[in-house]
Amino acid sequence: MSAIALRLLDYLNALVLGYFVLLNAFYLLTTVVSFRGLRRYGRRLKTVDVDEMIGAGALPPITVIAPAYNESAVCVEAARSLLTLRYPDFEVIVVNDGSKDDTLQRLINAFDMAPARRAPTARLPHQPVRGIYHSRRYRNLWVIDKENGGKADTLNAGLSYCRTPLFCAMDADSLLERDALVRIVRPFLEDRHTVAAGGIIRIVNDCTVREGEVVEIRLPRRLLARIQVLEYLRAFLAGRMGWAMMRATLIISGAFGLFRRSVVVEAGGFATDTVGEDMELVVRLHRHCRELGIPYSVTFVPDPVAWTECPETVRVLGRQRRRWQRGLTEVLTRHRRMLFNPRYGVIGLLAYPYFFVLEMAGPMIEVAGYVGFSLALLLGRVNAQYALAFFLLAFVLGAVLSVASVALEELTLRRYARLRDIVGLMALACLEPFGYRQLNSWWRVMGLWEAARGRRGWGEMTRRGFSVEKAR
Amino acid sequence: MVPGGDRLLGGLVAAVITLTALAALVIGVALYLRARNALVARRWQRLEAQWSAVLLDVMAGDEPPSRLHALVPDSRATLFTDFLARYASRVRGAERLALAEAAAPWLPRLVRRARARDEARRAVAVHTLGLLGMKQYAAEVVRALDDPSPLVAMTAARALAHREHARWAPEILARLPRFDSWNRASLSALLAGIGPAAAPALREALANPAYPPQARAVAGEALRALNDLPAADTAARILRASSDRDLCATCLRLLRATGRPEHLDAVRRHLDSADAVLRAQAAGAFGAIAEPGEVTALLPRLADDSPWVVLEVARALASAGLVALLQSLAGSSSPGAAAAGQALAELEGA
Repeated sequence: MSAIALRLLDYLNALVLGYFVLLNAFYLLTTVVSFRGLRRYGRRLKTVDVDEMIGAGALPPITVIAPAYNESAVCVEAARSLLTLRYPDFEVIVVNDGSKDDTLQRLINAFDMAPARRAPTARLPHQPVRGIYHSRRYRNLWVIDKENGGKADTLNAGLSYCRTPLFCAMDADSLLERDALVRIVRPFLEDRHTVAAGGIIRIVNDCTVREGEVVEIRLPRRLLARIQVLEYLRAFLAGRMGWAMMRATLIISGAFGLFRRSVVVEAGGFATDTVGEDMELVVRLHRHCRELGIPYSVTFVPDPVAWTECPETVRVLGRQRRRWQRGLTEVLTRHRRMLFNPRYGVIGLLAYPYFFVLEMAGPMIEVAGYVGFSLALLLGRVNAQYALAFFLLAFVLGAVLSVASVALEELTLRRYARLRDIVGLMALACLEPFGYRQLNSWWRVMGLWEAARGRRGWGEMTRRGFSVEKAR
Repeated sequence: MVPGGDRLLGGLVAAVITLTALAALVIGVALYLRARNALVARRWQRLEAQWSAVLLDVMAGDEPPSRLHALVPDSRATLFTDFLARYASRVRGAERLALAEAAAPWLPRLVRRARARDEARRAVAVHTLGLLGMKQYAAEVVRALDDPSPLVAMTAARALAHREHARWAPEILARLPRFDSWNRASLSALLAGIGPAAAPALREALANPAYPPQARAVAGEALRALNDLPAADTAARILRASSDRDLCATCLRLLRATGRPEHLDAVRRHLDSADAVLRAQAAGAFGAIAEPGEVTALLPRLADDSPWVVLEVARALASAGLVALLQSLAGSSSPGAAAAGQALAELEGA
């Protein structure tokens, strides 16, 4: 190997080392900040009486928009679950995105829906609406049937018919906890400048679901799903909570978020040309408000929960992660003028650079690092003991961060009642860095590659469906 | 070989050991907390079960409140007042009084907690005092309206904003500007919860030009929720003089609920506002106040750019009883067709 190649190899390894230090510094920072935030939030929760909030008549009306595409297996149960939400004034709009299966018919039959008139309240771009249905049995349930256009297009259609000041965007196959809306609306009550708030997403696989409600929470049986439980805890409790504390929330999950309708409409609704429409909207809201000088706040609330089914096979999980990475890349390259731009405050100077460098380009550096480090080891450019110590450090640091997320869960929200679930999660924290992390990095590199090639589309998600006692 | 490799290697090994110890510590703390929390929860459940058994008799008047006192260990006083507060928020009258009496020996402790350093502790104490200690400690709750923490101040406002505490309404209204960051709709619902007794103070706040427009708008929304007819004149006066968007929108909504034909002039000038929100509210108010014959003057506004204005005009036509006109509109391909259809559907639904 030539001297230049060896020198390049050394540079690569230095780059990987720098990436490793920076990434973990951010993880540590958000974890520590999250810890403080969750404790403070937990104390504040003691002043909140959900029943009193509901009874006081002081909660703003909300429209829940649930897009549905080929959701025949779960749409009725999911809509039924939404109708049982504890909130004084809310509407549910299920938007059928031109499903090829019998989603629409099942909804019509189950809820005694009849064709109805409803005037649009905004002019957002979306595929033509084929029909609007109103339930004869539930005054607050509507179905909008439209031609297929993708999730963002479907949300735009729902938003165009939304007539409440706030709307909740979610996935039709997610289950919102009964109090989820009362809990997530709090930032909008306490700060009238709040334009968006995200809730936490938890994994429903192998939990017991009864009448649209998760009645027994337990870890999934399959390892792949279990690992995702850990990942979600880390992402939400240690990640998003930390970013929210730093007033730098850049992502609100598409599975559960509450938004101020007027601001989203002013900003142009959901972007239909990206698979990362949830993040894109949040980034655009930041831009919109900052550029127009509108006081605003985007935040995360750790206790309102949306339960969602996660992939259980490597193939489907890989597809999901590639899509997420593609979405992230599309969004971050689209709004790149925010990068290191002081005009966008903490978003431009901290959150955006973090996501751009460490989350978007990071997997590439990581995979290159695995190759480069192995080569360096083979060529004797790195001392074997040094390499071993470095890998041990990376492993232990990863485990500490994961264990800390489980501890955050235990310190604050305590949703897993069984001790063995907590112990299981702790054990997983030690297993995850071997194999899963590398696989994930590979999928994300593939996602980057797909984004670079301009690939579009979502791919299919196979659902098992949840119903009465079903998910057990 | 990395230059300075030995030192680096030593550092790495030290870091690995430290982090391993840290991981073990975190795991240990989490497991310890799990065990402790489970134990505490079981203990609390036992205590609460004991209290619940007697509490129902106390609330029914079958047992004196003092009967509970013997069941409360001194170290569990806070838990006990929290327990009573949970019930207190759901009952009124004699039952609430019985709970307040049961809490009485521990209320001075809550007063001390209402001055704690931690804002969440202060807020919880103020909340509990508001439920169980208003007879003796109302002044403490009022004092909390001036607490530096907005959370505590708002908790105090919530505790005071009830019909039975209507005499404190001016205290809350005097501090409305403090709550500027809070959602206006929820603040006005809170004030409306005080009931008609708060109306004079609310009217004064609405009319007071020295108040920030946001605070005046909150007062206006509360008056609307109370359907306060005398407030209509004030709203019309503001509409003629003010240019604040939120305040004007509130006054238009207020006139929609309480206005009379003599207020039409004040409404009319906003029908052509450049702001769609004001146009929509003005159309709604106009439809509610004007005679049915006059409402047809809104017809050209069915072509307005804003879907909200169009919908309000259609609703105004519907409330004026112009059903045939709406039916023909709904069947046409005119821009207001969907709104007309919806207004008709709402009319049928009503």
